[in-house]
Amino acid sequence: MQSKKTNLLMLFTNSALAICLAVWLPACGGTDEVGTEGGACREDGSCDPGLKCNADNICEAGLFTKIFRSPAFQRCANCHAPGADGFVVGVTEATQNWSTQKTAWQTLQGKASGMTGNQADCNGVAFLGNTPETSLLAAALDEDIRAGYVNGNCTSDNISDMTLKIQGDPTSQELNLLKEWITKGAPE
Amino acid sequence: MLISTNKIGFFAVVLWFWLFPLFLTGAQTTSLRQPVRLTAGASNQSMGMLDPQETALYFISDQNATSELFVQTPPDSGSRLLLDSNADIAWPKVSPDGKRLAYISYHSDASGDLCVLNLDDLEQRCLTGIESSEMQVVWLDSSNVAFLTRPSMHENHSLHSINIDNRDAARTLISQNMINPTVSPDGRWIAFVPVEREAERVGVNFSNRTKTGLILYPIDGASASVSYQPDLPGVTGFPAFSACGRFLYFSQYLNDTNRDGVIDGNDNSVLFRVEFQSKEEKPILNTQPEQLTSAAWNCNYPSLSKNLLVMTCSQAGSLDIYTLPLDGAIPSEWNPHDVKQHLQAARSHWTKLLLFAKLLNLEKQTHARIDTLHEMVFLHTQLREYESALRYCDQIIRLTKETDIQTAVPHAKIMQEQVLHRREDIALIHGQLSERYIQSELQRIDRLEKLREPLSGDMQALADLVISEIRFDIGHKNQAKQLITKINPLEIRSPLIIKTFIHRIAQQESLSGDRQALLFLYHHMSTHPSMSISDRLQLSEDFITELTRGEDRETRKQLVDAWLQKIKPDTELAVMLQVMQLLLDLNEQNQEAVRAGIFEIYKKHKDLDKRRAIVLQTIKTASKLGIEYLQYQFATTWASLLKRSNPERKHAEDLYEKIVLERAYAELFKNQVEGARAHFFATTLRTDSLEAHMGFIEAWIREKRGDLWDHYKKRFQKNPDHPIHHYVQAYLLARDIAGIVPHEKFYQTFDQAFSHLKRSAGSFPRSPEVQNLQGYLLHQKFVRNGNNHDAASAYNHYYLALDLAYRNPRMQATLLLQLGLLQAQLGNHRMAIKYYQQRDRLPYVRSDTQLSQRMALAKSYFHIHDHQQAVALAREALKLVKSRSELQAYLPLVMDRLALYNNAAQDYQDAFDLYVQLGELFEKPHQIELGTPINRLKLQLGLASSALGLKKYATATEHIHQVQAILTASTALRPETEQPGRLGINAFKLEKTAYQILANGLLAQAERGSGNYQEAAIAMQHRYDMLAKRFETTNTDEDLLDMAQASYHLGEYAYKQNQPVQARLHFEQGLNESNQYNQRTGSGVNPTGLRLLRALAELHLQAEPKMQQNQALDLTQQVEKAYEFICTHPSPNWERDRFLLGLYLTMLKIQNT
Repeated sequence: MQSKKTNLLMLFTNSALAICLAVWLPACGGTDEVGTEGGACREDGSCDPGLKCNADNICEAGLFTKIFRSPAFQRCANCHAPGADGFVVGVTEATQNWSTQKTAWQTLQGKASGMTGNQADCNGVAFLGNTPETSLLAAALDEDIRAGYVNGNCTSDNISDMTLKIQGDPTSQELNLLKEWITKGAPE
Repeated sequence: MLISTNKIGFFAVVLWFWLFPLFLTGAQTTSLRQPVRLTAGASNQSMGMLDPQETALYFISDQNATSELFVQTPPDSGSRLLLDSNADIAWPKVSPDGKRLAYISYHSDASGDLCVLNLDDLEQRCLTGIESSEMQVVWLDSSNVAFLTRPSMHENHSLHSINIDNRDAARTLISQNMINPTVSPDGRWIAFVPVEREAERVGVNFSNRTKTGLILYPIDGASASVSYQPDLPGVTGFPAFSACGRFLYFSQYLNDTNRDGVIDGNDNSVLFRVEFQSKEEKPILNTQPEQLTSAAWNCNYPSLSKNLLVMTCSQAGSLDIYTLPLDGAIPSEWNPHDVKQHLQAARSHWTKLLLFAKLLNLEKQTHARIDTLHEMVFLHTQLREYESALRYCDQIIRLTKETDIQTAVPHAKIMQEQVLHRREDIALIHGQLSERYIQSELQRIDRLEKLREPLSGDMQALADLVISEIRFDIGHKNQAKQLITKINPLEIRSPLIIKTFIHRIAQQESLSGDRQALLFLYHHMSTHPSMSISDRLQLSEDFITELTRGEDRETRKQLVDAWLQKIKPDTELAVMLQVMQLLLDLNEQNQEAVRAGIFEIYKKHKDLDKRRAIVLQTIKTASKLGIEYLQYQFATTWASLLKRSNPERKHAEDLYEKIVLERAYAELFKNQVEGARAHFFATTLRTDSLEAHMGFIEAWIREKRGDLWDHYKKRFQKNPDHPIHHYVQAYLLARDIAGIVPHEKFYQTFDQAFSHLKRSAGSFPRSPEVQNLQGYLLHQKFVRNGNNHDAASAYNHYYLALDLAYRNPRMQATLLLQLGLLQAQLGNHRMAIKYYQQRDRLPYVRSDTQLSQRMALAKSYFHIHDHQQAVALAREALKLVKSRSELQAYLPLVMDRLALYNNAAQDYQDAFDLYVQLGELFEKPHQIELGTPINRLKLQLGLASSALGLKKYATATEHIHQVQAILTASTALRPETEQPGRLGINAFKLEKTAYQILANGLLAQAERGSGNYQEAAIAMQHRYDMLAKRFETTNTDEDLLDMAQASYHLGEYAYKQNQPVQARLHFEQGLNESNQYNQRTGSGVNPTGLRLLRALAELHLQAEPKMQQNQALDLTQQVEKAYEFICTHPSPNWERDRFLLGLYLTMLKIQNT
């Protein structure tokens, strides 16, 4: 859950940003370059990779960038990355690679692999699916999705709860971002 | 010692599962709370109280034998003595403004004085004297205290008040025998426990009877005193008001838990609270008190701060201070649904009773309350807590007046009779039936039969069950059996009566050893339609336990297969038998196939109870066989299934964490370091376990994975001041500290490590890992500087860690070994042996740890001169080394030690043979370089000394010459890094001169043995000269005594060569040195001095007239002085000297006259 303090801070930041835009961008000390995060969009409406041009013509972090940067998902790289300290052969899902945002996005387009034992039936299952309810990734993080998950032989019984393995569960905001991202077709 | 074993102990450091400190967090709202421990130590800590700001905890501890006042600031930090009173102190009470502390002191008055301590400057003063006996104290406000006093030991109590500032005369508040007075925060009420005198002439303090309940006394006297009787069994004690005054807390001794026939302060206590309305004339309405702690914890002395309930609880054999939130173990916001959910997950009867007590308070419907009370009666009866069971039976009877439940009264009355019967039964002395007992039980049967007459169905069955039990107990076994056989359990509907039936039959058939009858019972009851799934599963497990008890694996398999053919599929019993069938085949090779089979069963059954039973059975069996894979698979699957709102989830998570950590250790043990590292790491991601971090570090280092400092720097990049980061840095520094040279660098590292540790200690106040590391660092400092103060501090930290690790055998094992090593290094070998032996009672996972323990224990036995035991242990060590390939590096060390102990035990031949074998090892390639000058030198010395013992003087001389050759060679004995003194006092190593002195001594003995006295005298003179030269620089007492001994031998050799004058001069010289030694060390006598006196006396008494006594020496006077000393300080060692010196003294005196 986000605290009230953080919400207020966000409110303040958004208002300040709006005022800056209305007056004169450089006057706020903004040095953001065109196309970079917080900077104006390019003439063709594009931004740097991972960013998108919003309605105010400002480049902001895309959904997946927000997901990748969030505290909960930052922890994925501890285990899901080549040579990661927490990677256990046969236990840790082996396709995902959270070393960089790019590798994370790329590998999440693929299918689960490398699991043994009770989780083995989920090897070969796509991480994302079309909806959060059919997403293996969402099911591993959200207990409600997990409870109803069925994809061939891979069911809720085969999915291990990722929140068991890290201190601090993903916030509802982080989970909502994930669901929104999946619903929108998991854009880069 | 040929090879250093310094590091063996350190690498065995493994820790425990960390429980996150909950002090002041107010956490645990979703689960049942456990008391959080604030104090530690093997001693008793009690009467804890927080100051109003909750920044300091004051309490009494007997850690220094007397009960003294200690403080912990902050409350969960380490303790320090607040007042060095040198006498007992009791009842510390902080004033409401937090500035002063009142207490009862026994310093100047053995019957107690009221004293007050200023907390800012620690100035203390006592307000009463020896004319009265003060017992307890309580603050009325920040300037006035009330104290319980009596004029003399045998007179009645009264409660007085006094102003501590102006010290006006005390005035009497209440004249009544009482204990534990307490005052409400608004100063309107005093609550106390009334007591009454038992005997006219014996003081109420020594012989009293506690009345039930509490008295509430209005201080202003505006209304009458009120008696409060909680609706609970037993007696009440220790009332205490909450800081806001809304609640009155108290202890209740519910049952006769120590079975001494009375319920009193020696029984287990449970804390309760009840709402208090200070402004009312009757401040406590007729409400059921709220149970705050489980009876399993035995807590009392409640003390309330603004946010916490502080209490003294008894766990693991000692008292300690614990806290809980103000509403106790169960969050006050729980509703009946929450409580029922937790009841499903509750494991112990006491936890269930705590939850049922809460449910009873929450339930509004009489029917539901009666059902809850029935459950409570059943559980209390199971726990043999008969007073509680009876009280709840009474409550059922009272409640039924409000309802139309026809069966409730007979049910409660039958249960009452059963409980009363059992209470009578346990009161029998040694189980011997008495006439009175038989008559009373026959009357009970009459009453039960009358109760039974109008009944039918379940109630009739219950009555028959109880009658059968009574008949069985009074010896009417056939009638008892007949009654039982009349009951058709399948017709019983009440689960509680079915359970009573099962217990009854199980008890009867277990006594008669009728396995088939038990199997029949469990089988049929496990399918009983009235039983819950969870009960049926429990009965299925009971069935399997009984079926397979005492059978080998093959027979168990056959039995399970056979029963699976007989029973209906898909029953709970069938499910559990199918799981057992697979588990009975489980081994390392087929674990995947077994997993798959069990997982199929698991997936087929969706019921949570069934799944829990399958998972727990699998984990239990896999754990016994050491198969972590299966444990991990099912712990993960089970925890992943449960939603966070399910109370079972917490148990599942705990299980998961433990299994992951165990798997990490298991993989480390199997040398699967990569997997171990990953599992330890995974645990560090999930918990703040310092143990997991240490495991991760050790695995990482073994794996040679890279720079750990860098790894942790990156990990804590955003929060470098994180307490775990500080702990890890301290650990990494401590890991290598033992080998650091020079000393300056060592102390620098020590300071760095200690500074990191201090910064993490505040966040992990009750962590054995932190205490252990502090102990280890101080231990290493002591090794360097020999300062006993550091050793004492190290000991305290180790001991505290040991107390904190009472649930962690791994940690205990490490600490016991460290404590033993520390004591041995202090020279306290008997204490060291105690710790080594305790260590030996725990299992060994690593063979090097076992070897370390054996060798350390052998060494301590050697030092207490139990040489046979030292030899036996060193032989065990040798056997161990020979049986384990990974220990081969230690073979020369163990052989060397065993040979040394053999020499000491006078098994010279074994010693000699071992040295010869050791010499042969030197010629073979070995993991480390053995043929170094120092090792060859020690080998030759060993050979020489054992040859001497065997009287092979020529052989001995030959080996000594080899020693001398090594010593005269120009090469250094050791490499630079191992030079004496470089690694501190415990790396004690002899220099060349010391070996030369030793070699000359041995040579002298060898020559003497061969009869070459002249050569012997030359060698001994060399020894003497070298000792004297060394003494000039070292000025040590030991050298002086060695010089005296050399002088003795020189005298002896001169005497053997017929040179009595020379002999006398040597003896006199020696005696002079011995006297100097005695003077310097404060000794009355020493063995060498006694020997010299005997020699001189004999020489004098046997010599010709020209051998006159040296006037300056005054031999007679010296013999007389020594004789007097050994007579006034009797020791069996001096028995021979007492006889001889007594004789010589008489002869000398006669000769003088």
